[in-house]
Amino acid sequence: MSRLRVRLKGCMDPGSRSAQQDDWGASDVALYDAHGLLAVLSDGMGGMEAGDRFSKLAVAEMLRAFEESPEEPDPCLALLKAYAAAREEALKLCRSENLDGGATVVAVLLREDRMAFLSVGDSRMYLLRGGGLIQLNREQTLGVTLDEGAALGFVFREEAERNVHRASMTNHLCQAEDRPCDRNLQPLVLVPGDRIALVSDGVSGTLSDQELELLLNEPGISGAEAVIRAVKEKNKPRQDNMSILLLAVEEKTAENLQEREEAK
Amino acid sequence: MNEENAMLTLPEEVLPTAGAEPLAAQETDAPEETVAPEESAQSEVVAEVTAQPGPVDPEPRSGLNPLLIVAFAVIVVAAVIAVIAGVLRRRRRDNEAPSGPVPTEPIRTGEEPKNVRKPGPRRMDPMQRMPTTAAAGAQNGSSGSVVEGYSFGYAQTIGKRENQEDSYCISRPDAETMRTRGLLAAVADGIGGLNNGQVASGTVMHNMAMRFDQQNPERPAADRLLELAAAGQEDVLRINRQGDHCGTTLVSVLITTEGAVLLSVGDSRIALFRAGALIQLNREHVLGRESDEAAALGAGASVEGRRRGAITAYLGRENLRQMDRTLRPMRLMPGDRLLLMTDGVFNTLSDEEILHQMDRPPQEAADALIAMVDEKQIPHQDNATIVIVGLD
Repeated sequence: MSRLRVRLKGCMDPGSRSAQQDDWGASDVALYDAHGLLAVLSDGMGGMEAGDRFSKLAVAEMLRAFEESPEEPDPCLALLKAYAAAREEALKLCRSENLDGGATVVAVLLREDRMAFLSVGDSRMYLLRGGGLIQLNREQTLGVTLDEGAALGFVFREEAERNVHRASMTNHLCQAEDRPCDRNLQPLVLVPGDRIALVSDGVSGTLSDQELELLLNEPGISGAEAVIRAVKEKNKPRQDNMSILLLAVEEKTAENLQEREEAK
Repeated sequence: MNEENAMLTLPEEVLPTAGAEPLAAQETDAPEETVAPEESAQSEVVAEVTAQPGPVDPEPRSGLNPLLIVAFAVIVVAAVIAVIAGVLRRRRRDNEAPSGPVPTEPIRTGEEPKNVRKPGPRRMDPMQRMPTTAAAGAQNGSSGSVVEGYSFGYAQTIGKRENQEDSYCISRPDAETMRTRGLLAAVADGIGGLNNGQVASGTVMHNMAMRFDQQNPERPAADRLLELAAAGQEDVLRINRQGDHCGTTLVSVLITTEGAVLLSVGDSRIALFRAGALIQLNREHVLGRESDEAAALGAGASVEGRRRGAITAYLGRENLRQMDRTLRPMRLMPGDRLLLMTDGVFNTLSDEEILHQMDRPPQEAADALIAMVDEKQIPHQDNATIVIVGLD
């Protein structure tokens, strides 16, 4: 039995792009006590033809796998399996239509007041705790790999610094080779007041961590809209699609419990 | 995201090692998968070499003699200081009250092995020179003092093992160093039979603290930490090239005015205590996790049993490709505690037990936690080391 409850809000805006390739989704928060909660945000890529298809697929397939699959007791494994199911579908789609696309995935699975997280690609996942921002995931970009390679002496420093593909991702939904996901092994214990924000790079590329921290400190889930507003106010030329999925973890007060009883 | 580049395939030479490779086991309680199958044969060689502490230059050059003499003298001084440090530390562990703050605390490293072969100086790299006495693991009792708002504590126990293979280091916590360079804290859990683990973790910690003092402090903290870890990898590889087979985990944090950056290799842990709860900040490089992932993604089978704990990345591993690190500083908040631990701590104590000590000052908390590890009297208790850095 969980002693916490979760509220959730997702917001998106295409920015100055003609198409929205970000997508987000979550399972029913009312079922959190019984089944846990899965929340996913995905940023599609691959040009006009396929980007939005892969992000939508990632969200839909992960939710389907989560809802249909028999209970996997370990939330970290349950989340991994949901991702694996979505990836399998995505790779099938790539093959059957000969599509060249992909998507990032940032996802969290909350159960019994603990949280598993998983990330592939360059979207970001933050935990706001005690008012302070902590980035939970590591972006998987070539620049990171090259810098480590240069430090360890198997890539030339100049090559690492000048590589024009530093921003490209080393792993994403349709990466056919098996590359490691970034995920936690032991579920993270949640405390009342925690906020979890999943954002696409349209948000993290425009707002600094400091700005995000300030905005996410707004009460409850109102930070989601505030973040989108703040990105738009920057009027950045060629602003990428932006999306945020915000979860607020709160104490179940007597009032909350009563509400729930009445609803039943 | 960068659409045009997003689909780029990595050139082969920079690929991270993809599959899970059962490479090494932790510690000696899993002998079926130790790093070196031929370990017993090697340990004899090691004992011989380590009995004569002296710099070994992998690349003999002319004009080495004066350097050798100076280096040897420095090592002797360092060893003496290490012995004194060990005595002082033992006394401190026997509940002797720590002495008051001392104006400048030299960098200290944990359990500096007395008969470690220090890696020889590297060509054309001033950072690799032999340690100065100031950087050689001296000890005094100023721990627990507060500098620039930060306080720290450290403690370790040998557990039920023959050797202490854990090492740790904390950079000079004087206001000047902290303002210009920041605060470095690191813990290393050595891997290998006999003395080897001690050699690896001791050397890496020692050199890391020394190099930290010589780095260009203008560079981003994440880059500096990566550079220190990579130099540590080079140190252990150099030791291994001379016939040893050893390795070490590394967990490290570098705190500057901007916040904390982290770097981890292996199965030690970095946790953040904030708002009454612990968050593990690093990812352990263990076979169980990697094989689960391979199995879920249809590329292998999950490994069961003890092999799940085998570590897949450590300093000293040839072709080390994975490090777990943060890229941007995380702002620390008043009341935060950063904990760096070897598995001897977190395999013995639960998160709850650790949490309950977090309202005490870092040094008290570190002492209490290590005392708890000892009190549990666990058979084969592994070496346990903890460093705690707190912001008040």
